[in-house]
Amino acid sequence: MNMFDEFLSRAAALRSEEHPFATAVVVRCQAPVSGKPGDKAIIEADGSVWGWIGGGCVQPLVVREALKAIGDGKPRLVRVAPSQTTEPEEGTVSYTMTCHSGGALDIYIEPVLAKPQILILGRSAVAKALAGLGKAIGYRITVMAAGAGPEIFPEADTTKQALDLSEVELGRETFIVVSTQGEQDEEALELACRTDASYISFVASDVKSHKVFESLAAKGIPQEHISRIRAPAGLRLGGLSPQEIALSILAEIVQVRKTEPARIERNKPADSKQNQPEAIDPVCGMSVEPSQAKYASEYRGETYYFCCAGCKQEFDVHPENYLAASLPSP
Amino acid sequence: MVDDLFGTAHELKLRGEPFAIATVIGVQGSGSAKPGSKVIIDTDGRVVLGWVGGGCAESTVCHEALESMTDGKVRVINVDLTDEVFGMPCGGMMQVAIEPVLPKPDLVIAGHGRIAETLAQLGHLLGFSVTVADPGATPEAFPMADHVFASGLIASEVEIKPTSYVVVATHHKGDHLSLKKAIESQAAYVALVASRTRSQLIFEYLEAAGLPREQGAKVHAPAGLSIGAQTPEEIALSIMSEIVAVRRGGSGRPMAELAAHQLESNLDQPDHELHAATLPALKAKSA
Repeated sequence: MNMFDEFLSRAAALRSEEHPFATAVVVRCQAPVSGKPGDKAIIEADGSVWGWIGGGCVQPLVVREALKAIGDGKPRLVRVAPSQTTEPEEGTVSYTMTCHSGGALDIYIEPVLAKPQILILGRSAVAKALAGLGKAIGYRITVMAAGAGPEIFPEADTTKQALDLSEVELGRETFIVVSTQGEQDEEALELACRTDASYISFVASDVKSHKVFESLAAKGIPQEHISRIRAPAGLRLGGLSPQEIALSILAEIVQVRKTEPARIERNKPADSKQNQPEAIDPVCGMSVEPSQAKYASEYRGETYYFCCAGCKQEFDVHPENYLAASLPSP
Repeated sequence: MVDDLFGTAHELKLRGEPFAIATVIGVQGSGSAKPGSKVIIDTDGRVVLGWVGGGCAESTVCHEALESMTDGKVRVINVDLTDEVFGMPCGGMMQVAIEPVLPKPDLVIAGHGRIAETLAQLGHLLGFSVTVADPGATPEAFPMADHVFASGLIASEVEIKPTSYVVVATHHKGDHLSLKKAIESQAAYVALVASRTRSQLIFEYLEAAGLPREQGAKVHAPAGLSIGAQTPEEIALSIMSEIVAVRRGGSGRPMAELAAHQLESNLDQPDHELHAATLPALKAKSA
């Protein structure tokens, strides 16, 4: 299997498992560098790397930018050049290439995130219409209600017969719509408002929702939870059919998605690797992720990390040359 | 009788002709029709089939049926049979439910690609008859479309009606010509999928070609409600939302916003004393 085939098959597998990742592709290089245009890598949310995007000097930068891309959902063009001789171009993130090769690389990094998920509680006519419309715009659809099977929700990716969130993955972008229409309204709302979802709405008139909210409050559900529920759900498009109401809810979800940051952080890519302080390669001055550094040396009880074998070799020969510069003068 | 009625209704529906069905749902006193009596009324306000009583009863029902076909709303009316002016009054009352049956509105899409494909699918789900007119469009890419014309929007076989909602998403390829045809038609909605810069250029062209400025002003450009749509699918959703809002007279504002506002104004009265008490406190804070 050549590299391109494996790249595609790995990407496809991660995509179908709904695992977030980023792709990195070398799009330009200026010799001498070890990378070539078309070199590719896949970086997963835990920082693990598959593929090749240049040598050890470049990889930590790519991982860092890839994790940022997975975090903010935005692609970026990363330029690694020997020195910032030219003005940084708009839309590129610049790094200084301090390793020995002396070349330059442009790497395009693109996040591939899990599809946004609409979690529909209920099996009303609006719930059915919402499943169909949500699928049409490429969202993942999960329906949860007694009697909600794939026969009545053919577009849903997942259907659950009981109101139970324990087996449902609430990703960073999960939007909850309660469209129970009288069947377990309160149970569904209670379940929804105890989550962290950035969007929770209730398909009901304002009179009805007001009544239900009062009874939730009487049950002891904190007001700050209840007040997160939008009711009536949707934008005011003026339509009354289930399809028109479902469309207005979907439009509201898109609006919320763009204007408010995702709230659920349960699957956040940030783990130890992102939070760990970076180490500085004392030879070339590049930052190195200690957890991934292949080259390290002990000197006077301290551990030093290097971007590549060359730096380590230099350091091991004359450690004091490199420490003098970084140590505070007495 | 009922079979004939359903058969006729079905036929009219297939032909795409608007009509209304009126059903007697209650009678008090004496009347010539019984609950369940039905009529089909056409766009000229004439009874096509059925019986709900003669004279005044029928003319009242036909008048209301025409109204319902205009505003698209179901209504229940009370027909007073005691005040027959000409001839003998029947002496009773009856309630009649009138339901308009209107042909599907048309969604006409000039263009192909992801926005057009998703829009066709959403239009189909929202009950529109979908026509795609574009040289790059194939029936395979638009499985939900009722008609696909590879000839493009400007071809004569593509009809734009007063109930048509037209979206031009041709991405530069003749979009000015497509848009010109749409503007000059009777379409209920015309939108252009283009950047502000490109829209400006097209409107300049159209003005130079002699199209009155106010005609161009009715075009929704850029197309769609402003909901922050970014992906082609979301852009299609924003356009479909705008079409429903135009058709149904919606503002596009969140439902909850208005509800909260109404709730607040309802609370104003009983909480009058509370307001009086908190006001000085707020003033003290700001001072």
